[in-house]
Amino acid sequence: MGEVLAVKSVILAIVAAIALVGCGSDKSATGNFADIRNAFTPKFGKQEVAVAPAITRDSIRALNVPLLRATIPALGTVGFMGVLDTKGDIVTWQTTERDGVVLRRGIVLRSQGLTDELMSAQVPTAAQITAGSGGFSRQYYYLDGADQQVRWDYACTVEETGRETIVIVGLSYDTRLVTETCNGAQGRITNQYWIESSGNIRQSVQWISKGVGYMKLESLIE
Amino acid sequence: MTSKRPILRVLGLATSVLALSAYAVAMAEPYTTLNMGGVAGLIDMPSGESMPDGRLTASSTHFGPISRTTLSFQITPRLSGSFRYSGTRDWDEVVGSRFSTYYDRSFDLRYQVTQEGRYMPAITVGLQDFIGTGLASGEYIAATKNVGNGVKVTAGLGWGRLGTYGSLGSPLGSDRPSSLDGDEGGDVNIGPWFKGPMAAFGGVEWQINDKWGVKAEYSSDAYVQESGLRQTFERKSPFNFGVEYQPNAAMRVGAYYMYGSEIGFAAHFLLDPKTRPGGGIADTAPSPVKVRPARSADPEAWSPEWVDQPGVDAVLRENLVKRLEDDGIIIEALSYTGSTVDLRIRNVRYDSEAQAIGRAARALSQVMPASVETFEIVPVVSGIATSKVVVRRTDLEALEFAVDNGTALGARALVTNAGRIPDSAIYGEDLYPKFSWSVLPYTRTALFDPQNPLRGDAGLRFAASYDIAPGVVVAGSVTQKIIGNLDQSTRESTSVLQHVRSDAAKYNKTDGPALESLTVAWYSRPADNVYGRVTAGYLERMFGGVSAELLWKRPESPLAIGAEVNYARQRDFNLGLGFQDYGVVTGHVSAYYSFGSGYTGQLDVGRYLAGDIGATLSLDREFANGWKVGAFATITNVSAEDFGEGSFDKGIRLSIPVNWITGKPTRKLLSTTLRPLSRDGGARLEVQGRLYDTVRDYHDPLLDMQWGRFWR
Repeated sequence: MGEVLAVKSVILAIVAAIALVGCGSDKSATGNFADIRNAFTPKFGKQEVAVAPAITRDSIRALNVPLLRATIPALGTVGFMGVLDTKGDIVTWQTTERDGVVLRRGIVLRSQGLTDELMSAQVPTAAQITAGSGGFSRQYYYLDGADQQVRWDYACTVEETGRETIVIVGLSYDTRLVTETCNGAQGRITNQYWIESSGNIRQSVQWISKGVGYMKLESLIE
Repeated sequence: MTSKRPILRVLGLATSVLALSAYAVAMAEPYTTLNMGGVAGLIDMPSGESMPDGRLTASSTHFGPISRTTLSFQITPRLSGSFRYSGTRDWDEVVGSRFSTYYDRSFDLRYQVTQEGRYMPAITVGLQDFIGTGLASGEYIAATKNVGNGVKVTAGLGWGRLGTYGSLGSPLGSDRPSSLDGDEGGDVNIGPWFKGPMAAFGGVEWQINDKWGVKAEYSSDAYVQESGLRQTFERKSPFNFGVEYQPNAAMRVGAYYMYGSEIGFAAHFLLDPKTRPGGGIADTAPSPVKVRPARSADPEAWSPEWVDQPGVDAVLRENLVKRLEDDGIIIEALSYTGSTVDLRIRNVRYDSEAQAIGRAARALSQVMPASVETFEIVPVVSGIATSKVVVRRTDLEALEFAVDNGTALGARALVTNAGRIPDSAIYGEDLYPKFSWSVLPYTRTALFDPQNPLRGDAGLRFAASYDIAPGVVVAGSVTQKIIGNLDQSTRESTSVLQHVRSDAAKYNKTDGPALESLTVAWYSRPADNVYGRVTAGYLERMFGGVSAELLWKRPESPLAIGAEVNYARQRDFNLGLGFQDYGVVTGHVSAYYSFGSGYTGQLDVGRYLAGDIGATLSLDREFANGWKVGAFATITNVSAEDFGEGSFDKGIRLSIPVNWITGKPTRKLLSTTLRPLSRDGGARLEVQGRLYDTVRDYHDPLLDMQWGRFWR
């Protein structure tokens, strides 16, 4: 938060905005002002962190729709995503707050509404991951702060790193843990996949972007 | 589809706790630090380094009687420019002067001749105060080499004030006239550069860790005026020492022991237009592209017969409105055939025009029947259709999740002339006539008055506009000052020209409501690539009248040509409805050119407010995210003597997109123009809604620079 506040205080000096409430029918002008005011208002104490509502297997069963639980450790947020759109093996998952990810057979293809967005990617197939061995290349496309496209290239290998029994909301699953290690000029990324005997990726931890970090995805589908 | 949304309370993933890592990463790179002059350097001496490309810095430094405020911009990876305002206290203590604190403004330019290599040092040639009154004038060549373990060594040669201590002779000629006080300043005199006594300077900087650094230097500046002649401080030693602390990527502070006698302090604020402090713009996900069924699978869906169905346009419009209202996109007009749709939109939300077009295209894919293959999206600004972006629906469907889809779409989308609005077009409801208003705070500042270099007012601005028909708008604003000291200026203009700007202080005396502007404007598009504007009324705070403008600009061309003619009459100082006797016909022919990579130039030739004739050259660097930093200079047939201090009009300008600060989508900009001196020569009428800036957002190269945002 220190960086943000410091930058903002610089801007504050430039604009010398004063803390008054704007009003009017021109929401593009007044809403803006509220945003600036909020941006300059120091937040004291701990940031409010979204806490996942308590869920049970019963409530999931009652809903009877496919659900993914997504956790972003770096941001301390948890959300539940439903299916918004399906195109072949590409599924758009979204929360009711209109953010989420797009997966191809469980592999993150892009993010949506997460601020530092993964815009597009060349990713392995699910088969390349579940194979538990082998190598391939990855490309991630982002927009930098000036909205210019940047590409991160990685050389990746996968290996099976163990067997684990994981528990997701009251149900336990026997899985193989497959770890994907990717090296590139931007450093190292490590994605992990917990794969059931059917080949289904039950749980994964996958890289999104510098701003988001990793996202943990747990399938609540029975 | 969306119908089966989980009822479970579902939380969004993105929060306002924005990811800072992107910004923090910038800190890991080796620092280039600033000196007390606000340029890359040691303590008082410059170095051979450059700041990162695009970096904007603001520095406030103080030692002994001397304070400096500097704004620097790394214009290109090798070229940088600075504007500095400095004050020396106790100026009249020993030698009489009309100033007790001597204020001076100066511009620097630096060019990095070589970048650092394995053995090659970074070498920079700098011109200090090259168009000022000459007190701070100096030139230098400085070389800097990293020698490992965070240690940098700098050595340089200086002329002018940087050649005043420990002279090594005058190898490049001794003819260097000194100029101070009497002169108007402002001349660019190439003659004395690198002439006169030359002296060596140098120093060492050690970056101990991420946050702390120390510096030591040998200064070749004797402070002839400040220390020698006027004894504002005692320069006992050429050696300076300092320690600096950088708590984060945006700020660096330093404390120094200078010239064997004085304590110094510096605070530097570092902004990088290419790095948003919040990491990005927080926004909701776009709606998915709807893919049509294969024609063979569902031939009926592909039939164009729907066009003739009664009531179909109302349904399509309603569905589009529903899908686009959350994105702040207003539908101006809609028309279609069985194969093409022409959607005219007003984008009030997204700074990124490409993003607005992307969202409109996604909505069209959801709403339009399958037979419609060509999406023509026409952004409308101030009632003018600015361009037409043609997207093939097949491309949209194929590229939604394709690798590098931003580049692919940019290559396939066509930006072309908007063309006439089809006769069948139906305008949106509730758009005309429409009244809107706002009450917001405002601030107004007056800088660089020697009596008080920073004055300001704050208050409320009441603004309203009435859209009568597409392109016809009545708008006005009134301000009410609440607090401030602008009215305390007692500076009387001594200008020999008509006081078109130099009476600014008199306009700030009003305590009651002040009418800023009240105009009726008519925007039109008389032919393809030709745009027109007529504005009449109270155009700005100091002038009212009539302004007419014509602009020729093709969406894909880097060149645009415009012409503007105005009759302007000077307004009463009380900012009411009255006018003074002075009226003038003023106008310009303008050429605008985009050089690529965000560098743009503008040349205006014509008659200015005081009746003087001349030209203004402006150069800007703009970033796809909306940041813009530039400089301008105006030369007219007013002599330097008649113009007064500064010799000619010049300044720098800065636009910061509000969303860069807030991380929320908005099109608003914070813009400011900084003139070292505002005088009457080369002054231009300020009219709102000039055409070039109105239409160019939806033209190349601006649109081309940000295709990546199409998919956001």
